Amino acid sequence: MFRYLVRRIIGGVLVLGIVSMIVFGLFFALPADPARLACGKSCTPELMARIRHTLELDQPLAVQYGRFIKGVFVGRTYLKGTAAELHCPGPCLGYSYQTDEPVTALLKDRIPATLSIALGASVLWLLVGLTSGIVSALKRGTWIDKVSQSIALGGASLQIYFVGLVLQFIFVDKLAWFHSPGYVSPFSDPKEWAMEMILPWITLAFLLSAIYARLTRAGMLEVMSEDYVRTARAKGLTSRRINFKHVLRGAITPIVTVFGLDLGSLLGGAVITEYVFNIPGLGRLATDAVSNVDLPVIVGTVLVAAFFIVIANIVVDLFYMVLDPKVRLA
Amino acid sequence: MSLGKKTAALVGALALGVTAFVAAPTANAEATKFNGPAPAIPGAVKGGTLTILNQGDFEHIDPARNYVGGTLDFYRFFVRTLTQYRTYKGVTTLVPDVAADLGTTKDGGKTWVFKLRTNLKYEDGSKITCADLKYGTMRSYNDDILDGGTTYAKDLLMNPTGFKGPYTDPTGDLTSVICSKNGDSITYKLQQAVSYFPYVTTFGSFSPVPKAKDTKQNYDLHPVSSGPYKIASYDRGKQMTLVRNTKWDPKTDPARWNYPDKIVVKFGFDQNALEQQLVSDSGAARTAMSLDTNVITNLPTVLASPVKYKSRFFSFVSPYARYYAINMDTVKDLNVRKAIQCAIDLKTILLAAGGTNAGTYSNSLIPSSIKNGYRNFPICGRDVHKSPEAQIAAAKALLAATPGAKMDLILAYRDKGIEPDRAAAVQQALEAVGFKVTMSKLPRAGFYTAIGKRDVGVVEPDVIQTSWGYDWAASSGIVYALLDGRTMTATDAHSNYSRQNVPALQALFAKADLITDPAKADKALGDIDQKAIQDYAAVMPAYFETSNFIVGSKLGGVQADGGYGTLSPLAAYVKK
Repeated sequence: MFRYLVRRIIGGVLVLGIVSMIVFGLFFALPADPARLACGKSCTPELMARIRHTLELDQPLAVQYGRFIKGVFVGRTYLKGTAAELHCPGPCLGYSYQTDEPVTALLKDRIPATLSIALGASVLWLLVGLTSGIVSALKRGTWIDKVSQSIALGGASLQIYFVGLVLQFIFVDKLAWFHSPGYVSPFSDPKEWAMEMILPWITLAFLLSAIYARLTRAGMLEVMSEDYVRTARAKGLTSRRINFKHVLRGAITPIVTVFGLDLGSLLGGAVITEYVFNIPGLGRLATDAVSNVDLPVIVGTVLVAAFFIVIANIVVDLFYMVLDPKVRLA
Repeated sequence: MSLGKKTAALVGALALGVTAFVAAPTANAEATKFNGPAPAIPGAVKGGTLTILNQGDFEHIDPARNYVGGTLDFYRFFVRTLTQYRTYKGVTTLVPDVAADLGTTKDGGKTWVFKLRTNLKYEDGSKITCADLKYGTMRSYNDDILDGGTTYAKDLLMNPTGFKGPYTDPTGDLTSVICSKNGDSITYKLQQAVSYFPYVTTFGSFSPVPKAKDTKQNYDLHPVSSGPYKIASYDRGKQMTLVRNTKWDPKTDPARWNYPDKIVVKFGFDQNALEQQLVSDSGAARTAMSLDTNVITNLPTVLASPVKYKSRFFSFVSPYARYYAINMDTVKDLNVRKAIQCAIDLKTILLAAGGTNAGTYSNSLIPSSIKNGYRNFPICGRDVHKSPEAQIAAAKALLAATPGAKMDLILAYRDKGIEPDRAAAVQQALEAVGFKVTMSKLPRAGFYTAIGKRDVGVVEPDVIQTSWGYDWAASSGIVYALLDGRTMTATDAHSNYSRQNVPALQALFAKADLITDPAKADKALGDIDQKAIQDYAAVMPAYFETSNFIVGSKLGGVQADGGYGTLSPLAAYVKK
């Protein structure tokens, strides 16, 4: 178990290294020039050259990448030899071209908002999705199943952008049940935090629980037709025991996989949700960075997103070992 | 006569109940009125919180780095500059700010002396000095570190010692900026005569920065306030909160008001969600406005109920000119350039941009709000306001009369928003009269650099779809930048995208340089604009954008600001 975990972690670190190299390379393949953007409206070639030098964009790509990686481990100093020298302590992911703030600080600042969305919404969509999938499977063909599946189909067909705006229009603009969306820390004002998070949670849960309901229903129906379930019934086990100990456990493995990936992706930034509900999370940081060609922030947000995906995969693999003895033996 | 003895005026032209007009230059005695306080806004009351909901954060609030219209307007809440604009009852006027007058010159504009107010304080109670004002200008020389701002100080001021900025050159000095011994006046020595210099000093590179409080790059997070509010908190990308600056004395400030107790700016809204909130006018949105969100999706709803939204809806012509520069280096024949002017169909261009709610046809690069500079004249025989359509027969006739006319054109445009749609409309119109058009779609970043390149082995575009927002509301803020051949180098046309360098027009520029009276300068430059368009077909103007904003019903005092072409919160108050 320990060796397996170490192996997976080393693999994860390698993935992160490769991702950072690819993002660096892709950035330099873009036609956009961060020095030109920083140079402003009255740019001259001379000023642009000096800005390029200040941002260290005049160095070869390999040198820039090497300095970046070194900064991650030991920190780095910018603008050496000027009165405006900046030290970025490790782990240093660079300074934002746009805001002149350390990327690590920006990421730390944005992660709580994204965590708030992702964790709250995931609890909600799992609860609703699993419950409705289980009920649909157990009441297959009844009106309950049909209604549940119709709602699931509706949810799966809609877009976050649409649902989010409709919910805001109804509950914020018309009924005024909730405040204008945004984000406050749960540690400074837990009630306001919950009030502002409810609509994003419901929006995400409405869309994603639909997928989980369908997955759960399909998985359970498939397992219900397995021989070992029939054997369990023949042995006289109660329905509850059969459904929850044998059927659900057999059906849950693919759901855990999808959940791990969904949660990992969301933790990397729920871009559309954050935009629609004015939540300053990682997704918004990333999209702002892309439009401003803010390389250090782009690399930082991509690495964080990749980190969450890698962690989610490792956790999913560990869950597999718990859920499926065959994996444990392998 | 020196500009310092005059006031220049301009306008924000408004619709839906908001009127606009231009004040004529006023008499010398008017300058004494600019001691402050600013005239009271009728009906305004103190108190409450003004909320500003924006899609994006401010690019920069460090005065040395700010070059964005909406931010230049907003940051006046905490940044004072040598001169500034004041908008009151629809009239925008240039007023002294940290200065006590609008500057005087005895050598035709090469040396400018400004008297200074001597009783101004920062938020911490320390005195604002002439040395701070000079240091604020010196910082702008480190534009490699403090990037993004205007380069006017660096471009216009003499710099015999080659000063490179206080961070790179800590012991150096900018010797062309001189404080008097007792610190009650400041002198600027320029490389050449600049009659419009008092407009230039409205920019942040002419604002005081205390050297001891200069946090360099981090100054962008908290400039030391010299205005009516100070920054209580600023969480980039999330929220900024301003509270009253008790050290600010309204009697020293003719340009600012301070009605709300607090100003909260929230960033990161989605365009549609924000529009929806402001139009619905529910809850907190009733005391809110946006600086960066034009009403787009909900515009038909708002326009369909003019009475309902009348008091909350602001529609005004912005200073952003959309136009087509015709490259005089590559399209050398005047008839061909005139044929291009005739062929361009302004109606389809404006339709592609959103129709007449999105803009107003224009025959000039100067907006009609600059009364002394603007005049209506026909282009290709048509009044574009009444007949914006292409004049196909006239274009064909011009081309037929030109043997060997250049018929292959490259049309350059930016890959952003509706620009490709507008370019497609132009392509179609040009091809309708026989031109063969190659489309050159250029990336958003670096667009303006790319279209300015000349004679460096690049294939230059023949027609360039571009735009310009004036840096100050006078003809000098437009015509010099867009049509003066002296701005060009051998390899870079800078913002003179049509590469205009006709000797006859350059002679008129030389004459205009000597005019220090703002009204007369506006007129002289207006003449150049007209000749460049009518006689030399250097550009084809298309339209000025219309700004459409909606604000909460509990807000008063919000007004279109002619200085920055924005909807300004500077005089806003929260209704009881």
